[in-house]
Amino acid sequence: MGISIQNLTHVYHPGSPFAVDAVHDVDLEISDGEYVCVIGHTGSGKSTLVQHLNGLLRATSADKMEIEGIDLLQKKPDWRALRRRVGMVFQYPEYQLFEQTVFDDIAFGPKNMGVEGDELTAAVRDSMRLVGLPEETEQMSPFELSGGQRRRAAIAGVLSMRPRVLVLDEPIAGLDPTGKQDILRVIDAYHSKTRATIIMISHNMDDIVSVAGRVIVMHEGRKVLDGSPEDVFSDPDRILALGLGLPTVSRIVREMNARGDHIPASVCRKEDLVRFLTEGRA
Amino acid sequence: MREMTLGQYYAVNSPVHALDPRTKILSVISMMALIFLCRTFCGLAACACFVLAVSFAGHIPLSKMMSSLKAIYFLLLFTFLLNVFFNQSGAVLWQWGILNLTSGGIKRALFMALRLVLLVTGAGLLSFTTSPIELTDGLESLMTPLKKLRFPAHEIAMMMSIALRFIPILTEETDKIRKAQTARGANFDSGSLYKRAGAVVSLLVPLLVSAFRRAEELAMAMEARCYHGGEGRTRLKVLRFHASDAVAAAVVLALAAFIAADQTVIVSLLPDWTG
Ligand SMILES: Nc1ncnc2c1ncn2[C@@H]1O[C@H](COP(=O)(O)OP(=O)(O)OP(=O)(O)O)[C@@H](O)[C@H]1O
Ligand SMILES: [Mg+2]
Repeated sequence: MGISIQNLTHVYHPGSPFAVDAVHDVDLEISDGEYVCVIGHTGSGKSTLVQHLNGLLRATSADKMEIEGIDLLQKKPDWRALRRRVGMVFQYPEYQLFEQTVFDDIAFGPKNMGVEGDELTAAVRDSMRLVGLPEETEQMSPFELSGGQRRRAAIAGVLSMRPRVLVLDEPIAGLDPTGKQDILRVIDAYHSKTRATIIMISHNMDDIVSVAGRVIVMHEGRKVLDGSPEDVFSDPDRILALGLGLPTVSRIVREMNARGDHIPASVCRKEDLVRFLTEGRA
Repeated sequence: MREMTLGQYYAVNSPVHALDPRTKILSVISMMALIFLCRTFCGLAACACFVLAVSFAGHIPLSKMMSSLKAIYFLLLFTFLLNVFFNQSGAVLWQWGILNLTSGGIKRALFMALRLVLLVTGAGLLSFTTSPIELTDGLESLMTPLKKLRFPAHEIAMMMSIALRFIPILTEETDKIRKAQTARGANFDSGSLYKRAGAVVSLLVPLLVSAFRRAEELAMAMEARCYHGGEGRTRLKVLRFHASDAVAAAVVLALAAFIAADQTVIVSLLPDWTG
């Protein structure tokens, strides 16, 4: 079913002196099972864009908004069905924990969706296993967990709804390197296990090239680039001009080319660089 | 930080916005006193002209001025009706049962209603044209003489400005948590009372936790920078009066003089009326 959006525009506080044109004329087609990363300078409209995907924000204007078979432009879309299909993990999601036990917190989402009894217990336990929370934390207060564990509990609270589209807004911000790898592995595991669509906002280019099948670049509310990581990073000057960083490998390639090498600029993954160098030099 | 509408501040550049906050605070207090003291329609009309002129000079749209009346529609109606039917002077215009509509009553009711409107819009002018931070700075400066009486002027101003500083942060945080819980199926606007209460808890608990966390962090940060109260503390933005403040003071004084003259003229005319 996927996601199909045409000419989405979002203005905050329209008609007031504080009006902000946050997203402008964005078209977006995403098919089932894609792993998409959204990048862009701060304030470029990434969060605003993705919050439309489960109706947390409503378009100021749009020609088409069809998400997982639900038409969001009709008068009363089925919000509950939409939110069950599209899960959303916000930045610093651990700040949304509130229940007395980790179990109850993770159960909050599915319970609101009408899941009960054994099915609920199974959904909670499944997602705890998926994010790697040990079973003995189940009856602990969320506030007793460590920072990394809290983040995982919060993500489990979204995964327990079994969303077909998982949207994550900077899910690894503020974690140490191992914590980051853990979370990325969780997302990857969910992706490969359920074939869900993943849409992730991230600032870490190295992670993006290693996980994403597609990269969307936002700039001042517009979608300026959209394609595979190889395509997007094959024009490093453009990326730098948009105020973004390059993946480490692209930086190395750039540096080597400046010194006389001829490596294609589209090489942005470690494996590709190693392959190119070993084959090329052999 | 993101620009937000905090309180009622209407952020534009205008000569009124640029005035020293102390001038504006004192002017508004004087104007309110004048509105209370004045006893004639002529005086009130002068006050109304003043309010309109200031809102024009401050680039505040009329609709914005009117919106500050929203909160008192009911009070306004109540005051009007009370005065219309309880003041029984002048010619009787209309009678129904025990209810008498008299010319004096109508006059009196109009007068009271106009006075209320002017008080509210006049006070609104201050909050439209002065940011909350300027307001606290102005208040602290005006309260400084009270420090001699051991009045904690600096501490109060500091508390006010911290509270004000945190309003936009907490609003933003509320918005974020609300969205996060909505995404998990919490329903804040519809559903049974029990369900809605559950949704509110899912919003309040994280909000409270974060407010405490922020308060603790702020206290730590202030201590780390050796904050020790107001003594010997200098300011980044020193309040200074400018020529425009003198102009503003002159205008307010002129209004006061007019109203005083208006009163005395009326008083001197009074014997003629009664005689
Ligand atoms: N609730 C809001 N009210 C007013 N303006 C907003 C609001 N949320 C975002 N904006 C503005 O909309 C624009 C886009 O913001 P958005 O949060 O979508 O950017 P972003 O790409 O997610 O940035 P970041 O990388 O910093 O998270 C910014 O100019 C921002 O200031
Ligand atoms: Mg963002």
